[in-house]
Amino acid sequence: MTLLELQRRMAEAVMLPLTRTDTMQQKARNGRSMMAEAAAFIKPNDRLTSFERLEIYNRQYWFRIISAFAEDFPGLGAVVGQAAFEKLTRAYLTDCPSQSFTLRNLGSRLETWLLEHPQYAGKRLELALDVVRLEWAYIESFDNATERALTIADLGQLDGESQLSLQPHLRLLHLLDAVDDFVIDVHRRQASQGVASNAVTSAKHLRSRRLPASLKRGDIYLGVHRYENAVYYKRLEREEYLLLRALDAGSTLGEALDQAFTSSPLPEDQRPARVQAWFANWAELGWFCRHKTAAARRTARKRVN
Amino acid sequence: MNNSVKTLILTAAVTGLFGGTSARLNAQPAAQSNGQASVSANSNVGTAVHLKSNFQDTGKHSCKGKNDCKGQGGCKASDNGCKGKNSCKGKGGCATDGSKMPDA
Repeated sequence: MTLLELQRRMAEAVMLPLTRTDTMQQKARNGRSMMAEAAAFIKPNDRLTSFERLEIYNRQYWFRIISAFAEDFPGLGAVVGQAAFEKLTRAYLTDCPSQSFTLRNLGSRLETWLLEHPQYAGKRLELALDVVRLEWAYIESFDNATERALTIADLGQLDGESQLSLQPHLRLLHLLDAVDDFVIDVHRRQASQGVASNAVTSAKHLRSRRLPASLKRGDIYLGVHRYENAVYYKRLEREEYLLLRALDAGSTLGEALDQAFTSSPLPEDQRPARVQAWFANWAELGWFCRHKTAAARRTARKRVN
Repeated sequence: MNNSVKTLILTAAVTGLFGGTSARLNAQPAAQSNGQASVSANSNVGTAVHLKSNFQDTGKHSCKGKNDCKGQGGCKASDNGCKGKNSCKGKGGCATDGSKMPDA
């Protein structure tokens, strides 16, 4: 057996989902006995069999990724409840195992997966999806790069045909009413419980926060961004959101302004002052950076919900 | 919208960009004592989100199992900025005991 074969065999065994009682399964995915599989490349010692030695790694792998997942999505746990969240976690991580060197990416496929498996969200699918989008946006905003913001010199040639790019850490979301308040509250409760707590077992406690009553889509627009090493949820007006989204998609400044005010109820005489205030705020937060290529924009477009 | 309104709005956008950029460049970078970010009084940062894996955490095991600063994002300069994220390799923000990296 080559080293590569051994590594793949070990990974296959370690990543095999646990039983309901958190022990290693008796059979591998190919139907082979795990007892025989373990004996093929793990030596027993005077206290543990090959199976038992391999099981230690199998269990620790799953405990670690379940814990990491729960830490990243406490709001989802609060929405669906403790028991359902544990089922959802195991089902998701079985279908979408870690494929990255970093557990930071563990939840990258959760929104898509949950849309395909709505039964795991119970009766609150829409709310659960929005919470997932918001909690994933937090992770992205926490980790993504900050590029050099525009300077006065960069603004010299600006006109209606100019294109502006947004910072990679900025995420734009269109969510149900009050989802942001709910998630912030859950995260603050989680933070107050301390590092030693187990987020899986605390989901029941977190759910004691009253869930948002309104499920009317279109109520809030958010910019999730990082400023001075902290992540913020910033509420946006509908026109602000549309304008930023258009700029992010590569529209020129003139086109983006047109798109933002299409079917807007905001009186025309109030629009210039509002636009000036928005751009001043965004520029002060450093949200604009030099225009990227079309390929880079396509990647960045994933920021928009 | 007619063309004069469009022109006004475009002018307002450019004016805002200049004003906001000037304000940012002239601002002091330090956070205020109340924890709010230091932007001008009429600016709006939003509501800060607190996770136990957020940047202020200085506990042990700051990188436990996640390791990810490679986007040159929030971990690049903060002590323990990667707590819980594990990919601070070579970035200096992820000491497991809360300590800073020694000077090279």
